[in-house]
Amino acid sequence: MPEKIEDQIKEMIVERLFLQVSPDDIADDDPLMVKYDIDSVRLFEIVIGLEEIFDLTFEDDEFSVEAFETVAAIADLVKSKQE
Amino acid sequence: MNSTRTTPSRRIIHFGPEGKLYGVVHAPPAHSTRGFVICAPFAEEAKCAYRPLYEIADLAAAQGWTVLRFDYFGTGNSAGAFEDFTPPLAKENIATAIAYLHEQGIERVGLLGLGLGATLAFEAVANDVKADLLILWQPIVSGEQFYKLNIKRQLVRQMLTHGKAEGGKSAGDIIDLDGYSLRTSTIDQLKSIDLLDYGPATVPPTLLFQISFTQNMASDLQALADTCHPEPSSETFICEPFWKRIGFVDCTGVYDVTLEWLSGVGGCKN
Repeated sequence: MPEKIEDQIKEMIVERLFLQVSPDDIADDDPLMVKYDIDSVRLFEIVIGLEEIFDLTFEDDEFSVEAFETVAAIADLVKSKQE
Repeated sequence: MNSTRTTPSRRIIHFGPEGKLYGVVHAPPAHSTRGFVICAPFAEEAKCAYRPLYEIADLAAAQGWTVLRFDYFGTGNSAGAFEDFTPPLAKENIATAIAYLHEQGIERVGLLGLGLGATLAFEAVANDVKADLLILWQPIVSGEQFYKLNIKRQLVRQMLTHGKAEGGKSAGDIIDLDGYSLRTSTIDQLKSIDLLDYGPATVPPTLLFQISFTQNMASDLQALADTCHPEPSSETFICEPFWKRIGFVDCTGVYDVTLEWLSGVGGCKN
């Protein structure tokens, strides 16, 4: 398991979404939804994956497009919940 | 000219009280005394899983199994509105479907369920509905967890549509669960499901099949396996969750594992 949160997120996304790319190919600021064709079904998988690997629960008011737009944004959200 | 059929046939049936349940029988080329009923998953997942469940029915029929796919009361082409769907009624429907195959001369009848369908199949057997085999594709062990995931899915969908989540909608006794109208009592029934409550559960020959992104058996499925007697055959297969995808997912591996288990447990030569 990578140490950096960003790298853990990338690894989880590639594994759960069956993406045919290496986690290293995903840049922190890549627009995930556009570049990796992420629809609501796939975004749901990301949310569940985040909750599982970081042992956290997202509240209703935390579901905003901006928060899940890039790996960097997701990492910020995860870090804020871990504080 | 040889008129003997070599491929499965399909026929639409209306069965149960007043013929209110809709089903399709996938019949093997020659008469068979073994069969199973397919228990579909819930709501949107049933739509996404339509093709794979149709395909496994056809493939099993080609190997000598009589297979019945059907819609629970209130869903699909069966009578009733969606809010009429309840887990207890769905389990009655499953028992009715088994009885229908028995009436057609199928002596040994099993169940193959996916998602909530697998859960209902398991519960039906645990509640003394007789089935000769049980195939559980990714059963939902905790109804409470299942409900929470559906709420979360709804929030994610709202987020992409409106930029942020808006929460659930309700009108009187009816709650909108990710686009499907359910009675609050049905939600309560769903949330109260916990398959581990049935342990130790006596089951017929059972295939517990995890279909997921990992080979590691999930802890809830392992716990379910541990509560069953005799111990189920547990399999894991890495595959996209086809019951959650609108697009094509290659399910060949899922079919292969299932058909191999079926041929081992039941044989197909009648």
